[in-house]
Amino acid sequence: MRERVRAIAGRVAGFLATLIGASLITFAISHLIPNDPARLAAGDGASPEVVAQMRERLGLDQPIWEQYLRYVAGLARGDFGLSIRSGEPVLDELLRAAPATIELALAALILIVAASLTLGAVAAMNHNKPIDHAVRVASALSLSTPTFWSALALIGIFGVALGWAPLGGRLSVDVDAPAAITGLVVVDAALAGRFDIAVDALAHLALPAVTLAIAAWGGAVRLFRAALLDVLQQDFVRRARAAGLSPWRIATRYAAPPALVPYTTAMGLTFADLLGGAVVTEMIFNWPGLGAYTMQAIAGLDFPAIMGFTLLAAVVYASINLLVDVLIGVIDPRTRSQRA
Amino acid sequence: MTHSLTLARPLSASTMIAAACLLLVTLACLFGLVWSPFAPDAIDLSQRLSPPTARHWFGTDELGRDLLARIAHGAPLTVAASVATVSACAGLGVFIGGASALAPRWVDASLMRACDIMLSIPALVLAMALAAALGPGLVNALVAVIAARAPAYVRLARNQTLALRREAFVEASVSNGASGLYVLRHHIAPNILPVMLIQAVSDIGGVILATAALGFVGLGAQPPSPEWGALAASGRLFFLDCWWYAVFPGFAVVLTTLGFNLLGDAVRDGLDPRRAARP
Repeated sequence: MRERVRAIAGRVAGFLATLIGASLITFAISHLIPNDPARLAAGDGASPEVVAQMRERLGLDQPIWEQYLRYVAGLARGDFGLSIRSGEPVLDELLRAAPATIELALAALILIVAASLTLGAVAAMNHNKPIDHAVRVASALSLSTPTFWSALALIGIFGVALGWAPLGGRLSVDVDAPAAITGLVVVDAALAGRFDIAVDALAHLALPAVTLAIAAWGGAVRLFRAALLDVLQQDFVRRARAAGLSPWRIATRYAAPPALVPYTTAMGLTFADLLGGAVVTEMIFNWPGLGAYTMQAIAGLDFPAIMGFTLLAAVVYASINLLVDVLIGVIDPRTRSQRA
Repeated sequence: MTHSLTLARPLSASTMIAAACLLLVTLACLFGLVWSPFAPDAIDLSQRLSPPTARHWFGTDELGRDLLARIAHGAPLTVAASVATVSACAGLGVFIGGASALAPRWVDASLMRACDIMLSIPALVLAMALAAALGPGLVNALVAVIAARAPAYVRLARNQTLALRREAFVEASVSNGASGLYVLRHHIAPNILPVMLIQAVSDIGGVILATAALGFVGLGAQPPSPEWGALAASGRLFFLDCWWYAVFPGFAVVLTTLGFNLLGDAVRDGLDPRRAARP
């Protein structure tokens, strides 16, 4: 028990160290800008006095270590700074954009998990047969397709040519958003009993979610296929086969659970990547989430906002990593005996 | 013995596909570079936004420039940029990672901690933040991609070096008074090179995608550069009416990346005895 507590405490300490490190990186990057942040904040054509005032207000005239301490102290209070474009707190803006990205990433994750588990299992159980080769080629294609290209291809085929899905946005213009409960429009609409809105939201969600899923599916299916192949060669699986169990039962009851351990770890990180990597997808589909917000921030050289997003991505990444570690410790008995 | 066995194996189907992809891209680019009658920046307003025709195989852009010629001129840019990027990553990896493993423990620990931290920010996000700070441009984008990807190489090289450091020939050299730099150069680097090469070749595809993504969002190469991500970004503006403008540069990215990814798999299978031994 004490070992377990110590292990978890170690993980949490590592988590905090990572966050401090990430703050160092974002701080360093925003001080590496060739442009003068005070001039950016004051706006174009501001007089030297105004720029000097702004420099003082932003604390840019202080020694660098003091600026960093102030930055971290602010972060600890949830103060990510003010957006240069809107003048509003960056964290508020990020949190306002987050639900749209979470909805998109969750939808993509559901697609990825469903497609990679089924096709990975089918490929591993038919090792070196045509279906296995087909899955491998498809996964190689998935790993080689830029997000912007699959997004445009999906828009061209399903949006323009077939007219099955809208070209962008989260809801049709004439549809009112349901009252925010979870922030996920599909869920909120269903909770409010407005299934017409839920269907409209799902139609808008489909193409961007598939775009994200296409990019991340290849890695997931490769990983699950390889993990399953490893397990399928082990003695306990051989024994089950010799005992005459059906291949399907062997795959689901015997081989899948151990193969799911590395897969779960990878999926946690994939989800974090989806949250962060949605930038291109959101930009193309005009999806009002974190990625689109960051694109606007980049276009406006709004560094507090860009660094806020970078930091948020690191926080999400580290949190999910921590969560998955703890989760694996709970579901995999081997990690328990190893640590004790 | 196993080595000659792996080399004697017939080329796998995926190696063939890799070769076919890269050959196709090379041929198309050679055509665009050498035989095509069009210069990549020759403006012809009478031919603006022409769909693919017998004259303009891939169509033209909003200034009537031939897209095939532009894509072909983007190819050496893309390939050279990504090869330079993974080479820089591998070089940094061997130097920093190797030095880290040979250095006192506290140096090693703090360097590895720094790598962990950089790896804790999703690579594309970190590259975007860096590219935004450095300012748009192909070189800055590559610097950003290198910074985001090098930590993985550093970790790999460091772990490989740690394993090598206890080998008798390294310890013999150290006890004969060899300096750290000498050991790194003459004993460590040659021995971890195959592993770094595998990593670098497998990573080329990812680097092409990252560079194109940065170009697409406007942080990489800037128009009128024929870099593929930047071309696709301009094409996106006309996408609803002129599908070819964004589709062909993107397709070039897909083919090239697929070729390098499969090539990476082949190199991995050919050079890595552990993987080759697996069925």
